[in-house]
Amino acid sequence: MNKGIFSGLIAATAIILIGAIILTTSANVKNNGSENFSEKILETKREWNNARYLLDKTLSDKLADSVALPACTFTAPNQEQIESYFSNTIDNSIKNCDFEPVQITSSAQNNFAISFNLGCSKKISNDFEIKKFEKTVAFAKKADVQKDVPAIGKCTITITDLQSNIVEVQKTLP
Amino acid sequence: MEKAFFFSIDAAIGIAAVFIAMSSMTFLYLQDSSGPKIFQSTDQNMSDSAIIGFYLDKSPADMGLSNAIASSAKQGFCGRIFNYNPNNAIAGMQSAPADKNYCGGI
Repeated sequence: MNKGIFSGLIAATAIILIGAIILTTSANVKNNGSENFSEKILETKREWNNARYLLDKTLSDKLADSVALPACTFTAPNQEQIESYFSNTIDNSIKNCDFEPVQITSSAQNNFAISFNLGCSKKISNDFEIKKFEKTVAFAKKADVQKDVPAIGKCTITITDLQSNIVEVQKTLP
Repeated sequence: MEKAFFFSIDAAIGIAAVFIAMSSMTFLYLQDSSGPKIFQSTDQNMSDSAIIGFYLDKSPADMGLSNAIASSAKQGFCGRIFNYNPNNAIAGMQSAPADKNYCGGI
């Protein structure tokens, strides 16, 4: 029998097997890559939620700090003052999130509302970054200040979140 | 004398190639892939536990976790969440975010 036939068959089998190995390995790598990608997206959304929470509380902090003492009068903060507080919070927590300029939508009668875009992104590798997860955020707060005794009394500051009706800041200052 | 099939050099090379290929495939299929899968699951569980525990005001221990990865763990993951308390004692000073870790390991 011609030995070339056997050699040819064996060589062909080897090529097919090597091809199968390459396909199997490549499918495995792709599968792992997509799982990793999904996890990063979920983690980015979780960080966005956390960042939104932090900026919500930061705004309440800023409003509470906008009460002049000892007069105990509230002056609504401007855009730059709010953004300065927001930047400090982001720089000390979730650094891969950022915000676009804050717009003050209402500041009448101590009812204070703002709106801005908050976005978070995460790097999967050195040369690949997922699309930024970005949404518009709006906060509405109410600032109440009063002196227990006019002119000489202590100043009580109450900041209420108008979206949840939760009192976020309540403190009495001398 | 004419060489028989099993004594030809090219047939021997072919058999060696098939043997190597089949060994490689067997190795790839039999290798233990449970480690990375469990780790990916742990990673996601920690991340979920962190955000749920944070909003329910539960400590890592309440969520069946700890605030650090045990030294005996082969691999672990921490879900990190930041909190912010606007009721700071000093008037006119901004509060600082404080982090809390929800960790687990296997």
